[in-house]
Amino acid sequence: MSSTGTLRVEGLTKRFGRTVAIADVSFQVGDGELFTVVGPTNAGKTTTLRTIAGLETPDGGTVFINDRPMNAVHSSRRKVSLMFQNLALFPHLSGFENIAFPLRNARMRREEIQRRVEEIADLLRIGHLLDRLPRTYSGGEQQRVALARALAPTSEVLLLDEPLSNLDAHIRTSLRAELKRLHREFGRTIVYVTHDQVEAMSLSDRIAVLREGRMQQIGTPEEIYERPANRFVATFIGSPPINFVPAAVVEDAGGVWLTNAWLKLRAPAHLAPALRQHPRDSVLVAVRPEDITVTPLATGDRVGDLTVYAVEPLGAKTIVDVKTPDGNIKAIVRRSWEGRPNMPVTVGVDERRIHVLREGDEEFLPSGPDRAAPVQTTSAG
Amino acid sequence: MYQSSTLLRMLKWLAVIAAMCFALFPIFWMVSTSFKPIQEWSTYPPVWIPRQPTLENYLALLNPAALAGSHSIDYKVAETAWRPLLNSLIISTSATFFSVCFGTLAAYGVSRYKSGGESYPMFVLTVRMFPPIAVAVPMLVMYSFLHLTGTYVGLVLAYTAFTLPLSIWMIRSFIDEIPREIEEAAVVYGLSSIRAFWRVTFPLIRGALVATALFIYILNWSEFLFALSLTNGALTTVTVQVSNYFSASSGQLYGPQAALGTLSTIPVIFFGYLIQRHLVRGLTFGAIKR
Amino acid sequence: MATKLVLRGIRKEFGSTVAVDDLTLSVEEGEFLSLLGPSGCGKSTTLAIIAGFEAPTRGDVIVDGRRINDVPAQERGIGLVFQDYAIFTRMSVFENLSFGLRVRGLGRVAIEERVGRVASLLHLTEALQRPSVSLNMSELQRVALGRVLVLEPPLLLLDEPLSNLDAAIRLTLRTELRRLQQELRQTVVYVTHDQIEAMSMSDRIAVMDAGRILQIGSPMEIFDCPQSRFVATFIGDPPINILPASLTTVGGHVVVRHGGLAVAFNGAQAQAALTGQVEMAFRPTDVVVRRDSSSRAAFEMVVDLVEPLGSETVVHLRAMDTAIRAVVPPAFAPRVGERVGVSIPAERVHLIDAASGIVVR
Repeated sequence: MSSTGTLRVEGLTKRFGRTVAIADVSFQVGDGELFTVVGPTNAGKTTTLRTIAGLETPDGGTVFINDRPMNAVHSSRRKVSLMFQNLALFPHLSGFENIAFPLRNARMRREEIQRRVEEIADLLRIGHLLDRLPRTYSGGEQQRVALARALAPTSEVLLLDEPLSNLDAHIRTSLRAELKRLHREFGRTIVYVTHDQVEAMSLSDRIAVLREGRMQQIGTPEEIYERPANRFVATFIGSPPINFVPAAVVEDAGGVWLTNAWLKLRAPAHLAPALRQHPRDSVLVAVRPEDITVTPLATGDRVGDLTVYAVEPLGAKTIVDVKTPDGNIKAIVRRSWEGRPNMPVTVGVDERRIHVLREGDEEFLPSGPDRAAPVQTTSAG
Repeated sequence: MYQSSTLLRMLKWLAVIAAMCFALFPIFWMVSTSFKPIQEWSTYPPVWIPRQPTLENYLALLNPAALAGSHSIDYKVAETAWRPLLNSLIISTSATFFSVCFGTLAAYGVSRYKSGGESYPMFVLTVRMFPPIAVAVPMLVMYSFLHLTGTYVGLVLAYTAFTLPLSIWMIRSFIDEIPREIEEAAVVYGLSSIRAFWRVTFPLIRGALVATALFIYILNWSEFLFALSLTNGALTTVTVQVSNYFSASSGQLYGPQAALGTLSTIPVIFFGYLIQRHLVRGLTFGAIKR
Repeated sequence: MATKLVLRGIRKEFGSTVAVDDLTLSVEEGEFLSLLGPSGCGKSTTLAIIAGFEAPTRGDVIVDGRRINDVPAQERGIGLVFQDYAIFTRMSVFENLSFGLRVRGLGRVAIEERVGRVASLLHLTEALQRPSVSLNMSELQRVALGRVLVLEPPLLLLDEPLSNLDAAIRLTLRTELRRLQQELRQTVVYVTHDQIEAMSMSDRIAVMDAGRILQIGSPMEIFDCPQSRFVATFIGDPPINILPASLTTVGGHVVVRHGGLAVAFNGAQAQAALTGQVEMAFRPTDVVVRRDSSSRAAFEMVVDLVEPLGSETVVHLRAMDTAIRAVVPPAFAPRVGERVGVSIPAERVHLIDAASGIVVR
């Protein structure tokens, strides 16, 4: 039903006056891949997209579509679709004419346009919107028509800029799944920009994490989550964010240990070699909230340094904020967890799942490939 | 919020009515005078509503021959108002057209490309900052030199130049309201920048352009100073013609003046009414997420 | 020094529209109560009525036993943080935060201590000396919040105070706000459309729709025992699965069935009176997904879509015209197209009367 293409971006740099919007950004998007660029505000995501579309001229680097350099090609001839963050529907045109706009410009035959628009409208369930003007649409309807306009032409690359922002949580959740399903059916090459790490994780074949115009990491959602390249990626991906716990590296006959006043972890096999090279160094142990267990102390136990700071039920699970001498850490515990603020607790950490970085460093210490993911065959706990 | 009391509401209405009377009275007086016979033009106490309404004043402007032999007329109108009306129509329409055309192009550049730099819009406005009388004399010298005095071209040029800053400012604010992304969408989906302007931006600001044109038209139509000073009497517009109604025996001919004033107001009101539906706001509503 | 707030039979009309409809609510001393609902449900209007910015068409606002309908807003002594905030842009952050305390004539040391504490709570310590004009959206909103928090009002009304903040800071402020409220034993009415905020912070949640309170209860009550389809759907992400179902009686059991998905209740559990159209509702997190579909009770479904979220994975499952969502741990690593066995524990299934939308079990 459509053509697809590959996209390659090499050393893209764009400055606005003195601010550097993106610096030396490179990535490749395969044919039919859904590639997400994620990052906080001012990461340069939109600039990247606009440069690919030809709406910004790069100060350095090259955009290739199907291996053809695009820098000298006018935006209107790049065969890309761009869904703008503010949607930018044509307010004076009906839904039909909005979607037909790219097709008319491509000199498609009248009957062909009719057929194509109706096909897309069916797919996105917007048949009833075709005769109406955009001002009569709800937020979700606007979004669908803009998406239809982007899908209609035979563009080689689809660029979507925050297509789900500003929608109600539930609509966003369902449109997200719908988009993923659509992509699977048509296999279009998509570059998807978002600030929402949940969206990035759930939708993408691969994710690129951008920060202040610089590429941090590129990988599958699992890679990004399980093996973040640096501190920023580890913190940005995952909610509640990963915890950082200060510890010292200690080696004894029993092995390599990561210890502080309230925690003693045996360094897992995949980290031990790297840690041995930094004896007695101060390090930060990064551990995801779901890899921490929190147990209330029975009465009579020695009261330790750890107490519950806050308990936040979310329904299916509960977040426990534990106050430690080194700051608060968050853990995800089961829904029926019994505990209340100021109660003394102990914490356990699944040491197979930790990351370590030296204090002051941004990059994690290298880890071997044998990082464990607990095997499970049943979902219910 | 607390309900405002009835008294407060009545006071508000009173204030509104007072303001309306203040604004509308001159118009009422003009229309009323245009139907008064010469005896009622300036008597004391004033005549509010003509006791014996007459069309004499209008006839005096448009068809003086019909008044021959009328007893109440002791003055002669040298020239009918037809020619000045036509002159005003030609000059105002042409000047408005050029002003809006050039204004649109300039405003687009200023709005989208910051043409001329950040301070350019303010710079453009300085043209309107000093009184026209200050430039009237130098312009007359220039016009004489260029043989533009008393020509249509001369007045159209002057009017265009002096309304262009307002055109640019008004149109610029309309273009600013159209999100740049709407044009960019047109470009991404296959149009050149110029065609994107014609197919997308222009239809969106069309109503606003009509409103701007009306505004500029009113300015041009009622312009007096240049019409007087740059013509040497060779070309008479409506405003100048009004001041021509003066007779040695009767002084100011208030009746014909009021009649011509009334006549010249009608087209503007008529056009204003016609384009009313174009004067709607929120042109881009529904196009973008807010 | 906590305050008890009672709303009795509040109704508010704007012209012919009814924004709040016969709302009765009691907020206990030191309680954190959230008004949760979609936009236009009347929650902000309710807050404005408590604050005194809107006069109710009918009904009473009672604070500590005193009816305050006729007390002007500025004399109610209520702390307020609205979505639209105005701060003094010509003052520094510190001056903004200390403004109310200085007006009250507190000493310099006391002011600095209280401002310092609130500033650190709101991550504004570094910004204290900066002029307010230089602040970004997130900082401005926190200053607006801090300016009210330093006054430690016994009754605090908050209208979406975290809405313009980054995800990360919203998460920490959620915790800190709640802690502060517990320490100061403040009575808080918190308006939000974000069910996660309401769930994580509140003692009780009042779910509102169309000017009415549909249900009021603790977060877990609202989550586990929704009384209507609206509440069941509004709470929880990914949203609850709702499927039209038929009821049959097999032996002593009532079986609820949608296509091949069946759940058996024992007689006592099910409503004998249930005759009309019903729907079965269950949360994605309660769906048990197994690789081995050998178990007799399991229903075979195909993985249609996988959405990894990091700490958990959402799977969309399909069989004929049945489509549901389930949440599984990432280690389950479901693959699109694979067959899995699905079962749902009967005690986690709600039955909804299709016509009225009321949860009957």
